[in-house]
Amino acid sequence: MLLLSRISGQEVLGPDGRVAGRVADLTVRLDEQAGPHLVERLLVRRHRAPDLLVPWAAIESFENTCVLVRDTDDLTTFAITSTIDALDDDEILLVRDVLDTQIVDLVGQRLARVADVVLTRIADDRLELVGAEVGFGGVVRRLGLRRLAARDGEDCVAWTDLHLTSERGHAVQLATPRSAVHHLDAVALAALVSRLDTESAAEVLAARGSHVAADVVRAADPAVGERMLSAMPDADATKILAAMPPEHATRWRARLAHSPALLGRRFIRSRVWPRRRHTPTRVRGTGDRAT
Amino acid sequence: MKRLGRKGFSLGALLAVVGPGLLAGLSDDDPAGITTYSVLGADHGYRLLWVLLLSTIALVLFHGLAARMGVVTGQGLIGLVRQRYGVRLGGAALAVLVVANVGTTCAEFAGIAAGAELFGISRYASVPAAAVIVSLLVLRGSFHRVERFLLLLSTVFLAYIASGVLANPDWGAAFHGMLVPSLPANSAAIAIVTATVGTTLAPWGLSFIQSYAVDKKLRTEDLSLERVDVITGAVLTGIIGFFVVVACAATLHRDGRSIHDAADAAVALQPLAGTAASTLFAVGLIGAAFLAASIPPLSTAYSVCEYAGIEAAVDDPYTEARPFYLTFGIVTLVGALTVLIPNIPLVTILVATQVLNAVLLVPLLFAMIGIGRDRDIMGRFTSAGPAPSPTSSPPPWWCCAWLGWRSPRLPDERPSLSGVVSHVSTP
Repeated sequence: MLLLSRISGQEVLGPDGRVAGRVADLTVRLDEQAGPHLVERLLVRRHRAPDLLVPWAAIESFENTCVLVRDTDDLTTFAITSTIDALDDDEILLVRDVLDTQIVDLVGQRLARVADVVLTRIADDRLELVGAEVGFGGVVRRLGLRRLAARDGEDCVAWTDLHLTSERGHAVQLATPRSAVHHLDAVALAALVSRLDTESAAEVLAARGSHVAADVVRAADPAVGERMLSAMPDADATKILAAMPPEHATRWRARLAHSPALLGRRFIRSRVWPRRRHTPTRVRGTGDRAT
Repeated sequence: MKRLGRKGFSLGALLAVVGPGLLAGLSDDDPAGITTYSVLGADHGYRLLWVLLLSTIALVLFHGLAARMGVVTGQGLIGLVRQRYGVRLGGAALAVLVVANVGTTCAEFAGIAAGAELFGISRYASVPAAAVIVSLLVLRGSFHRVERFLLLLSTVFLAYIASGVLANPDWGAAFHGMLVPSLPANSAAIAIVTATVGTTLAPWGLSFIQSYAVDKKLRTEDLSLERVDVITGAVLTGIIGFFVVVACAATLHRDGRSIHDAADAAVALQPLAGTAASTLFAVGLIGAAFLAASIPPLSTAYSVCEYAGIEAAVDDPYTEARPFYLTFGIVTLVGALTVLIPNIPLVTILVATQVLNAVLLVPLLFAMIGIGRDRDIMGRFTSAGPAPSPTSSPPPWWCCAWLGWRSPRLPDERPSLSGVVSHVSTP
């Protein structure tokens, strides 16, 4: 297993053996129809020179201490002026869009922060994205307190069981049919949207269509359902209500018509996430930590 | 990313959004804030009112930025700092916030002790009782039942507006002091200027307003209304602070008196309340302190859990959210115990913690400016301008530095604050 925090910052050697820069990030495409999620490109940061976005095909070897670029490639062909413009629509950056960001663990039904991204080496010397390590142990380890980190144990969420909340991560996962968010039932979706901000939650509902959205609103906490429906344009909310059984739709219309703006407002911050319905599961250890 | 829109601008929509800015702004008028403004007016008259003006402008800018960051990202301040800068700088920001919040908690308990002593109640009875009551109310989830009552008590400080007017102040000098900056070149003046900045724009306030915006599930469409909320809260804070300074300048400073304890500070309310000034001041102090004493420990507990990536809140049982409850308990305990150290001067604690707040605020502001200008995090709500640098830091510090360098020592410096400052530097 490989950890992203140890890969980023590694030296990248050019065809002439000189240091060309350092690994700043790795990219993964989420729209692959099947098979593992593979690292596609390396973002290399250079001193006083444009960044490089090096495709995996141009990597000669990827070792623990340095990355070698094939001698047939001219590095300047990989130079980019804007990272955002250079990425494909379904491509995300693991450091920027995943590491230290919040994720929703769809199995454990909890909001967590990514302490590290777990990768593994597979055939053809490719790197496969395995999942995200969460919890305080990974943080402590990255702070250099390895003994303390060992006491905290490991807590890892499989890539297929998580939803990203970062700006680009959320958008790309919504846009790619393979993502978990497109395969959840109404109950699981209700748990997901209750942990997202209002706009993201409304976008998830919009992506799944009015019939699924109606089931999600009914399955979610009434306060969450009300928040999402209130946030939607009238036309979208009306479609979702129309997809409900008539008695439910009537009840929701009455609720939305009489929802006072100030009800339940508290002055001090007394809660941050909805009350958990399930105890978080500690799943799937990350195995060996060799790098 | 597609945005779904809230319908129209209406009073109802404004009422639904108002809250974070107003409360975060008004919470600055806690015991530490009132005491700091009182010392500013009592020791320096109207001369340093310009600091309040600059602090209020900074309050509008940074509370607005914090609220925007919360609305756009849906995250609290420390979690966002970790996402933007990684675990090391995130950890440093957390350490800064924890130290500042412990200091502020001390100040709130000092306010409770000072208010209770005006009623003849020993701090050794009032502070432990307050710590237990606040902890039980917050952790058992029933604080919301009394918070409106406490907020009502703290509105006593609005009496300073009437008292300031009734004290026949020199309005010309007041507006001159507000618009024409000058700074006596001595450590006492610099300390009280720093404390004023620290009490107006505090780390816990930034963390609080961002978290509150997240909790309210505000949306980017609400940002224009949220701006109204922030400006209203900041301007109200500035107005109350202005009248506290004016009232103290027109009473205490004119009579050559300084503030050594809460009874001295209450004198500024005499033009309005007469002999009831002490009681009025004590009620306001206790109400504001109770309300404010709950926020820094809670803000610290959420920040620690945000940083650690642990899902925890007051709704969770202790076994599932141990770091949350331990952090809350430790911050409350340290804050209360510090005030109980024998013979420790309460006014010194109240002012010194605000100096600490101002010093610790600087790195947090740089972190916030960096996040605000990060397109990957803020998207189309990115702040304009170049990357943060020392020259782009908030105005009050640079004004103070510049004025401290150029201003001559003024002849009528009052010696009393030197005592406070010496306590500040050697607590």
